[in-house]
Amino acid sequence: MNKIKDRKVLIVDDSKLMRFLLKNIVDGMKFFSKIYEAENGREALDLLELNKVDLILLDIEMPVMDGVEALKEIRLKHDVKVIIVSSLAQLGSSYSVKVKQLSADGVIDKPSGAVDPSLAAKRGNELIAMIKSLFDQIG
Amino acid sequence: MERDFLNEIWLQFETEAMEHCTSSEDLLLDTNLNANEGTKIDSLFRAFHSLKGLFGTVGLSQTLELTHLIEDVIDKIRSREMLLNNQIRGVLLKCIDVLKNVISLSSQERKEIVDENLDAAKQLIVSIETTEFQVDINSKNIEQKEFNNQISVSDKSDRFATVDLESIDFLFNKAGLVSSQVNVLKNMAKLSLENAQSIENVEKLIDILQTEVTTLNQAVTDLRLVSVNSLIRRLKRDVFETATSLNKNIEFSVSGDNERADRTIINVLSSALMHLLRNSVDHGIEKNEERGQKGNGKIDLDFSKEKDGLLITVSDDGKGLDRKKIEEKLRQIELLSDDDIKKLSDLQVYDFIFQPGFSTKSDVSETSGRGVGLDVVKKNISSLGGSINVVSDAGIGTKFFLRIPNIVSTEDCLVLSDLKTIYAFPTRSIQWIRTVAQVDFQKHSTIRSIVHEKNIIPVHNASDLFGNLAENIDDLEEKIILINMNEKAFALSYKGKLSYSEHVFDEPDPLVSKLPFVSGTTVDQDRNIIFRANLEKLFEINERAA
Repeated sequence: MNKIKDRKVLIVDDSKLMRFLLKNIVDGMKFFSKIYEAENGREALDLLELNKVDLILLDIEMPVMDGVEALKEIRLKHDVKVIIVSSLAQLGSSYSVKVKQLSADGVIDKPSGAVDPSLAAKRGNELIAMIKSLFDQIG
Repeated sequence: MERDFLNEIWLQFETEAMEHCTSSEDLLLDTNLNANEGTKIDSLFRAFHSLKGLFGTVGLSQTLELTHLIEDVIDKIRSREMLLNNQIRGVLLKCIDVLKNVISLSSQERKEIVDENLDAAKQLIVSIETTEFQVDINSKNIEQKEFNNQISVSDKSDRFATVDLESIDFLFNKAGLVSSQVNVLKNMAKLSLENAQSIENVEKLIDILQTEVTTLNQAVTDLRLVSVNSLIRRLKRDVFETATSLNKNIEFSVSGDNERADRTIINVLSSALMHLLRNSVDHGIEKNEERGQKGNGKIDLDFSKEKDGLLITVSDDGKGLDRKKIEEKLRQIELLSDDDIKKLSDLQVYDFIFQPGFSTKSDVSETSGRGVGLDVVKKNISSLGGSINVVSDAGIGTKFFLRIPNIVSTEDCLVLSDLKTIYAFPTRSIQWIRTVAQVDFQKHSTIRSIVHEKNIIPVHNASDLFGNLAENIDDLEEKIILINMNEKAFALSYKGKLSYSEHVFDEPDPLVSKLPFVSGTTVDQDRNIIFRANLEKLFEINERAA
């Protein structure tokens, strides 16, 4: 298992609010030594050219380059775990089919309902559990 | 900690959601937006999709439903199942108003705040897809009632100004420099009591300080400058709504909107331009059927920099002003004789449209007949020290030119600060200030008065006119101030502190406009309100007595 100080995560979402929330959850885990952020798929790929990361939290609907396009390229070029964090997954739209075909390591709803902190916390816990299980598998 | 976290969430939410609202508003107001422009429709779709995500994130579930419905409509437009016409645009714009309102209220309360407008908006959106839509939209009264309490978000945001960081840093540094030099000056002043030589140094430092303060003033003036761009969205919206209500197809374009003007000017310009544009939509551009081959009406708004101000041009490609109709009106109100009218050039005739109560349209339309005429526009523009004129060509169109000075000039004032409220007199109106001993009062007179240019002028007590003096000023000598302007004079007796300073005055606030001697208000750096004395009203006192 990688040591904490080596583990890096990249959050890709066009919403600053969502990045803020995800960052807060991931930060609280004390599991990663570095948290990168990108606003869209293009930025994420550029960032990956220069930095090695262990996990990507990827949104689907984004301007410039969406998550589906980004995931295709990420799979071709990089060895990295990807969790799709998207409200689209929940809707059962055509996207979620595509996402499955692209073999993401995990799919999770966006954390929502910040007005009800318990709900936000629950979603946060789901994500934390998912991240931990991904890294436990390789031991 | 938890509190800060929630604060941050709601702040981020409000900023981000508002951005998506305004960007979709901009897209909808873009006259080139249609289903053929795939990328723009995509952006519109994505904006509403993001809004939906944001509402979900903070738990605004009822509002989320509305964005979900809107998303469906835009998806249909994207796939060309539906045509984006002006009616749909109108509905979507109204929905954005409702969303903005929900966003700002909910962010304040940190929970979902909705009113009946949200349901009304949902019904409107649903009705788009049914035949009821035509009926709903046409019965304008219902629609208006449903949206009657639109809270104007833009009004609220007037309290905030966006300032670039560079300006703030500059001001910060300058202010720091000035205060450190003031400290040096204080120390020097102490020393100079013992050492005469250092007086020279003090004077040098005062010079330096003076320069710094001048730079500071310029920088602060610059901060008051706002991009005219801040007006554009509202104006576009207004043109769109006016055109839709009059059933006219109009393309409205704006250029040069990165020019800047003083905040006060922008506020006045906002209503002036709104009226001018409404006027162009209503009277300038012909009805669709009259235009025929000419196609869509075109209205252009252009801002450009002139030597010491801003030139704004509002042009339309309508039928032009009708000289005959204006002449008719002139005869009707018997302002001029027939012969005189014939002697006038076209431009001179056109200029009459800026006269009060001058409307060539016999039926006052709902649109431009909202109690504001071109005469009010002219008055507003003049109050800024600007001018307005019009040129027109039959069949080609009409152009209005507005010339506005870029900076409201500051006024050098004599400030009477020991009154209950502070009053300022323009320095250029002050003839002299003397102690009682230096004044030759008129002898054998029942009221204290002086002779000025062979006129006997009574001396009025400042505290009688402007309210009581502050307490504990017994040690200050009484002074007589002679105010003299446009060959009218007024003498004032005042016992208290006097100083000179520069100010930029705003129109008097409605709350104080009832005070008899106030012609403007401003606030000094200590947040004291300063009234600009209304000299005309003061002169009237003497005239009435005479």
